[in-house]
Amino acid sequence: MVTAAKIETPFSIIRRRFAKSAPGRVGLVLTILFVALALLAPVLRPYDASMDGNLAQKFLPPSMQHLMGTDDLGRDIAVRVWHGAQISLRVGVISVSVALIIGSFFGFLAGFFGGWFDTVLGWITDLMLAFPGTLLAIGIVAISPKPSLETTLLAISIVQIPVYIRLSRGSVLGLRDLEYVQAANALGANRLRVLFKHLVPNALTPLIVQATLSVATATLETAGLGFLGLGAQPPTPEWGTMIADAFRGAYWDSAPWTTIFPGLAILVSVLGYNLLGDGLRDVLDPRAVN
Amino acid sequence: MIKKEFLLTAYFFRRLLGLIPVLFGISILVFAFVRAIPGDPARVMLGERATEESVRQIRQDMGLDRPVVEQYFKYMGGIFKGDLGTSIFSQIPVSDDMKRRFPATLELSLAAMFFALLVGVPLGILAAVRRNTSVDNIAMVVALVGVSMPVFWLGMIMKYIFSISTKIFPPSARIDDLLSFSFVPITNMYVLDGILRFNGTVIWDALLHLVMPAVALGTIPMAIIARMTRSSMVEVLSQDYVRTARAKGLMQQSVIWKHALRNAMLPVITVVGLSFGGLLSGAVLTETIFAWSGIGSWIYEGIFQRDYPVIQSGVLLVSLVFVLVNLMVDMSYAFFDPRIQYR
Repeated sequence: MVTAAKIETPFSIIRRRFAKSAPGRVGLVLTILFVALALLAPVLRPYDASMDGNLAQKFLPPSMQHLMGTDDLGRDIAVRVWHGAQISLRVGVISVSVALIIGSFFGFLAGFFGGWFDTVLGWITDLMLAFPGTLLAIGIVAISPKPSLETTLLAISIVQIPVYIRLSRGSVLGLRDLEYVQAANALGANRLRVLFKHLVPNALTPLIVQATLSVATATLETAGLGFLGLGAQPPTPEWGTMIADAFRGAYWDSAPWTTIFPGLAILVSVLGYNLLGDGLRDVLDPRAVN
Repeated sequence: MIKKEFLLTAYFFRRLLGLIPVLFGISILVFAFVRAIPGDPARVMLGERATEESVRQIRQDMGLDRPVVEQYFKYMGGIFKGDLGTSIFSQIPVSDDMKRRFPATLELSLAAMFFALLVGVPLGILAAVRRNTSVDNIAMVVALVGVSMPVFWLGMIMKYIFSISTKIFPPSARIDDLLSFSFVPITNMYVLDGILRFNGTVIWDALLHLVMPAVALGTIPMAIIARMTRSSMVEVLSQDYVRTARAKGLMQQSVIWKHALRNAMLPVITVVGLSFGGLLSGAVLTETIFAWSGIGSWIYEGIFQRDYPVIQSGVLLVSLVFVLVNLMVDMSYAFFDPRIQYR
């Protein structure tokens, strides 16, 4: 007996699986929420971090008027946290994109062609991975003339590059000798065409998952560098820098809301990225088929 | 069996030899890095208003006017003689500072890892055994929140709750001020020193100081370990030999703890090893919050003070530890998984 099989496109499979993944759904909602907040911040409430504030209203606890209270300069913390979302998102997305593009480009070439290029690249990644990540980032920030958001971005990006080199190299190595690739070779396809047309699209899955998780790491590292005074500088409303202000200004314990809310923002946004990454892994990893 | 042990030893020594070029690479990189940091240590030391003449004099005394390559060989020559140079800022030999600060970070990292394993492994096992129940969900939410935690913020929140509001734990430092005058440390790991000197007061005081920094630093590894334990355990529990063990009529406890756990631990060991790097990084933040005078805060202060010998030695030491831990992780594979062959 023949029954009409429901035709499934790859897209519908992904959508169906994603709908089943609870962490993925929650992560997607949180992430969309953060992205929307970040994008809307300058539109709905234009804000100048250095001009805002009213000294007569400093250290007010959370109230209906100031949902998250005010800080040492009488600035509304809720607004600063809101605008901080934009900074955090920008650093996370740009730094990870740069690392993804540079790292995977070299990784793909190394995995596909092998030889001396692969060997040399292997040394470089080994060397970079021999330093703990944050320490490397601190080092890179330290050699820049002045700590700023841009140097943070660069440092976080550089630290992530070896991860993508490794991942994309391994991914291509696993595919290189499959039949369909041999078939493409046998048909006389150009080597670079085989790599970028046939291998790369199939090697992207782990990279996409890793990229989502990397945005989480990048957000934490941005905040960490900001906290150490090596990232964004006051009065930029970067979350880590805000907490550092409260810590070094020694008012974090008398006015704890100055610390609690920026920290919660970091925690919740990173949680969102991590959930989304987990969900994507459930969906995109073919081995995870249940 | 003998053959396997021989191969393993040979592999170990080959890997150890392989570390030498890596460490040389690191030392060159760090040396170049440190000199690329803008700012002149002599200037930082003497202050903005010092005359050009005295700055030049200091640079000469410190050998900073020599070519960089010459400075590098002098530094490396010193290392092999056990001389790491003198801190530009405090004028204390770097090796003295290191002897004091490295055990502090080691103590903190070990305590953090102890906490991570103590909570993470049972949490992961529980989640795997009660898979897809509310217990599993709660455990994994805890783990996910842990992975997403900004360590420095967690440290401050804990300090607020447990030191400022309730005064359960001391807010900072490694030991009470009064004790630090009377107590003579041996290893500089204070809990261990207390045990070695049979000094109950010191043990208790050092432990109280250790709890909060260790929990803050150990939270991320705890969460990673819990997640890894769960997924590894789920996989192992679905294997045939576990079903056989169950079919034999073994008790659930025995199946989990004796049969499944041993094989599920392999990926967890990797994670423990890899997390050490994260601990060493996290130590910079944790040590800042809790005024823990370890390697992390040492390097951090070194960067601000342009203290070349301190940064060089600190980063070299951290990298050395990191690389050695990774080697140990690789070796432990062979120990735990007899299927792995080393040639």
